[in-house]
Amino acid sequence: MNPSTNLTITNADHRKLRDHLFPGDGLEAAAILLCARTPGPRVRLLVKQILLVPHSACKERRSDYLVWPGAAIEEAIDLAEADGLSLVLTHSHPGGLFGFSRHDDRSDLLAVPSLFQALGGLHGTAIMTPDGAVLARLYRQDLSPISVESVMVAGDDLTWHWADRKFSPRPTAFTSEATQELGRLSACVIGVSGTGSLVAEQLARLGFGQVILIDFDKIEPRNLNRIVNSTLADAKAQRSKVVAFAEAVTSYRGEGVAVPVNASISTREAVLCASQADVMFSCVDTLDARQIADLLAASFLIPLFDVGVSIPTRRTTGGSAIADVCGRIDYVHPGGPTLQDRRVYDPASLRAEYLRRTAPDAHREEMQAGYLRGVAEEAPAVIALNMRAASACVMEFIARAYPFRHESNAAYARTQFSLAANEEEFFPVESFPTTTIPQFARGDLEPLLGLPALRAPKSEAIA
Amino acid sequence: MPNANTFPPAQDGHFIEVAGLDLVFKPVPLADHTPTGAQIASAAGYSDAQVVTVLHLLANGELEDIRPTEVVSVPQPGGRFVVVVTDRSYRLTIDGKRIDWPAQRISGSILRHLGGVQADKLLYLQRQDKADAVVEDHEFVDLGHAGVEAFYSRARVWILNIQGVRLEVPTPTIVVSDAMRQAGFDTNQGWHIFLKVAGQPKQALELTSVVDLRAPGIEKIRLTPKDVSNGEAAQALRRDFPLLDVDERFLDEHFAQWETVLDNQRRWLLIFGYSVPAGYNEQQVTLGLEVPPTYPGAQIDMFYVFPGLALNSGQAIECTQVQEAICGQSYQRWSRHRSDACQWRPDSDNVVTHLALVESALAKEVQQ
Repeated sequence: MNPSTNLTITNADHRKLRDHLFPGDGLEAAAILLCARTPGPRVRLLVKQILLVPHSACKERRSDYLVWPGAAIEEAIDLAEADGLSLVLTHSHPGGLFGFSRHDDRSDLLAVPSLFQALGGLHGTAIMTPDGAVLARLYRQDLSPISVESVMVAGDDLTWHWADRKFSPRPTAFTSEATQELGRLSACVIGVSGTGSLVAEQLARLGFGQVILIDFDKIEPRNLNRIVNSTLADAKAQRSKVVAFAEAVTSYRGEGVAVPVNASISTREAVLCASQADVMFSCVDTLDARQIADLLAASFLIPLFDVGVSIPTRRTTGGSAIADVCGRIDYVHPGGPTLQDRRVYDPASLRAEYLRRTAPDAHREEMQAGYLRGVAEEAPAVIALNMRAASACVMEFIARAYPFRHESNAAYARTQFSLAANEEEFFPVESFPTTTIPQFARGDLEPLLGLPALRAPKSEAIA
Repeated sequence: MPNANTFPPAQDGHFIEVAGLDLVFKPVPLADHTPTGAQIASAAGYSDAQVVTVLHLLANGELEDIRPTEVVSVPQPGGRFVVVVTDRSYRLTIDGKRIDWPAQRISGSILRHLGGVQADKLLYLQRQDKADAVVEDHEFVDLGHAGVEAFYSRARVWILNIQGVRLEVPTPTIVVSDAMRQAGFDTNQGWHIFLKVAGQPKQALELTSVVDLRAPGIEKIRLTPKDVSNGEAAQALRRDFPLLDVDERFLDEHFAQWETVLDNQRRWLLIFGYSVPAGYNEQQVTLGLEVPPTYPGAQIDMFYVFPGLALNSGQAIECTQVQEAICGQSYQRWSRHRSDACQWRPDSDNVVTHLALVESALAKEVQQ
């Protein structure tokens, strides 16, 4: 299955758009979505900014008819030009028609060519009905249409509006209908090892249409205690983790579901593959990989589930003792507080991690001199703990896509559990600061994710 | 307007065209299309045909001497003749075609005309013991020397020798960087560039300089790699990893040479010839900054200098005792860090802002 053509909008922007398009007077209204794009091959439009066309500026507003000023389009063109954004001209259908009228078709043929004259690229139109559902369509420069099959509204909850009107109202969690909808979606798992293999196993069996698996590592005998689906033969042959795992998925889901990417997430190749996904799970053990996942989520508006486990130890007179057995699940929605906002990593810890990896002596010396913060000694994670955390992580996704909690999902931006203290803590989204980061809906702008290390090779940039 | 060389035929006679040494032909009436040389001289206004040389300009450009009594058959209308007072003629060839010219001097444009040499070609005078000379249209060549002067035309290419590579250039001038690229040299590498023309002192060039290839002789461009500041064997500048565009622009503008170098997985930005303020034992150092792969998400911290710096005052500098090996050289580490109030911000901090910290840290030690 190829993942659908998609337009993604944050929940905050969706609310702003809906409030403007349905001001309460029952008349049509208009707005322009300024969208970045994923690098392809999949077409995903990422709403970066919304230009609201003032109601008073419209020449005529009726319940089934709207005349809006070209000057607003001009303003959007100016905003779109520098970063090559796509424009989606949007209006409301207060009567509830979830479709484009013949009148809409005619006006598209007038308005859309002028966008191509000004900007080139890929542009389109959309409508919104009072229930907040959005239907969009795109045009190529020759005015041939590209249908946008899904519109994702990403916030504390995850909602998909399908052009074919399926899964509306939203399916109930744990039903076959939910499984069918997941069959249209693509999930990306970054890190397919102790926790990642367990997350990927659940996602594949839940029914995701595509599971992109990203890991650079090979299976070794010492991994066999915690990577599901790995075999002695895999370890002996030193097979790549993702290739071996993809083979297992194929054995129970069939061809084409698993997409193995045998590369570090810090490479351009892997970032480009990850950018294609609808949702993302980061199951990594380094800070720089978490940073990449964080930047991917922001740049491509991909909801991110980040899971980590640790068994910190403390020194005792006789040796060392377990200080805690804990896990953490963070859900980052596009435009919300990032992993960096939550202090999962920061510029200093990223540098320290780099130094520890590349120059252990210098790292030790800087630690002793007090230039670097120390980290607690960690005991290796075990499959039982990994399973607990991986399950919590995937349940977090289900709760967002098919809400079942008694409380709002906003109360669960972070879940942290301590098996030593037998405690579970929940952090609401408001407990973290939200900083606006320059990568928000950055899309395919170079350098990828704003990191020079991921810049396109010079020859590719010219082509 | 009719062309100067076309004219209506006379009603009851013929015209021929007559010119002097300038080859500007004018119509002259002549009621006979089988005139003698004397008749032509007379028609051209010369009374004494015996001292006049009459040359018939043939369609192929050759000049044929017509004796006074010789009858020449001319087409109707037409026939082009050069009529001059002279007592001798000078022999020359153009691209092998023999021409007897009735004057001692001849201009480039007349040679071109006689030889049918197109404007996109150059006309050369063949010379013994010397390089052949280009004959420009306005130039005159003296035919009075012994021997037959040989002229030849050649496609307009100019020859340029770049460090032993011979380039044929279709234009009379060329920009140094273009020429270097055509000859296969990397212009991003630091080069001293000199132009050498035989018999003249060498002349320093820049990549943007324009070389005029019309000067006589073959121009030669010599390249010498620029030395790196620490006197190591010169080499191409390394760009093992990219920085932000804003960094690269700043470095290009402010420093002659900088490199990004991967050394055992560690990633260094090295700035050569970095000037330090007065008061130190050195005036210039190589400055090193360590740039993690997740930069600018990851911060740059501290800086490193080679050779190590000491204060002229003899006072010790705090927190510079640690040495770090970078590309086999021992750099002095300056443990200088951002304050808590001024943390690294990934969206606004970069190499440029870190260099500002380096500058103030170096200045601080010598401000007393």
